[in-house]
Amino acid sequence: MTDQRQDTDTILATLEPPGPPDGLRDRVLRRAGAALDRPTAQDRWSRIYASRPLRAAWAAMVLVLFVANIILPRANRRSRESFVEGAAGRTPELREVVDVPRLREAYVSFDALTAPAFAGSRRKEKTS
Amino acid sequence: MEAILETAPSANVEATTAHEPSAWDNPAPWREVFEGVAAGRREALARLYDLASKRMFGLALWRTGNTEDAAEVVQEAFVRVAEQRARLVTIRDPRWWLLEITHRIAIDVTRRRRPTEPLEDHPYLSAPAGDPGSPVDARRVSALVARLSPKQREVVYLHHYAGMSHSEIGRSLGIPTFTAASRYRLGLATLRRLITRAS
Repeated sequence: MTDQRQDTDTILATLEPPGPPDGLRDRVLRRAGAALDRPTAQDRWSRIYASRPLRAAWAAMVLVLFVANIILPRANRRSRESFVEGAAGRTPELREVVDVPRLREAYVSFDALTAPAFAGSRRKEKTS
Repeated sequence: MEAILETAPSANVEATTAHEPSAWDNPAPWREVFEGVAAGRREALARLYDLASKRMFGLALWRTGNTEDAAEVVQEAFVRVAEQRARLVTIRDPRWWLLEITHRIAIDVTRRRRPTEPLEDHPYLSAPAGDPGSPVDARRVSALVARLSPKQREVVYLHHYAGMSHSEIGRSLGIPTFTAASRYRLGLATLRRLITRAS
């Protein structure tokens, strides 16, 4: 097997593929030279990248998204606050429904039930 | 093996086993030549032809199996180089890129060819130019090489004559390295078997 391999390698190394035929050089240089004189052909992605209207559209879109990112959250927050305040002003019951209790500062957490002061007050309530 | 190697003195065979480094193997001029073509200089195009045409033609011949098709592939490849000159300066390895487009065009040309068209007696190999009295019968070895599949022939050519590693072949042909290595091993094993049988 090693001998066979050496022989094959020897054969491939001893010979070489033929060169291009005579006359091909002139034909190639004539055709490629003509292509060289033409303006550079751009592929689709290069044309898209270099397109002025598409660049302007892209810049406008980035600007719109940037402005919208600033304006829309503010407008949304303002409208929500005004809605809650308005509803609560009219009907106090609705405030309990709309307003989340755990976000209120005055809300007493569950841990406060075990605090001594609170426990004492509960005992007083029982005796009375 | 004697039938193919004939009566060669062993010393002569050993002397010719290593290919002499050609202009293709020298990495120095490629960048400069590509920059010249990118600038639209015709003399750079002529220089590029002198540097690359032999390897490109060889690959096209081993892939298409036809001298006329191979010549068409080389022409088309150079036209494509001229058309895409704007991107030549960004190409990392000009040699492998040239072989890559040669490979792609060779596939297109092979597909376009009518299946009924008879193929010529392919001269895949010949005696080196400076050594016409080569001990190896080039015509008989060419006939054996013709029995490999085009894909195997292409990989054997790229490894043996273009000096590419399996990973470079994989990158150029768009196939995994393992597939390139596998095609090479199978191709060479087939060639060995054919040579042994022919002897």
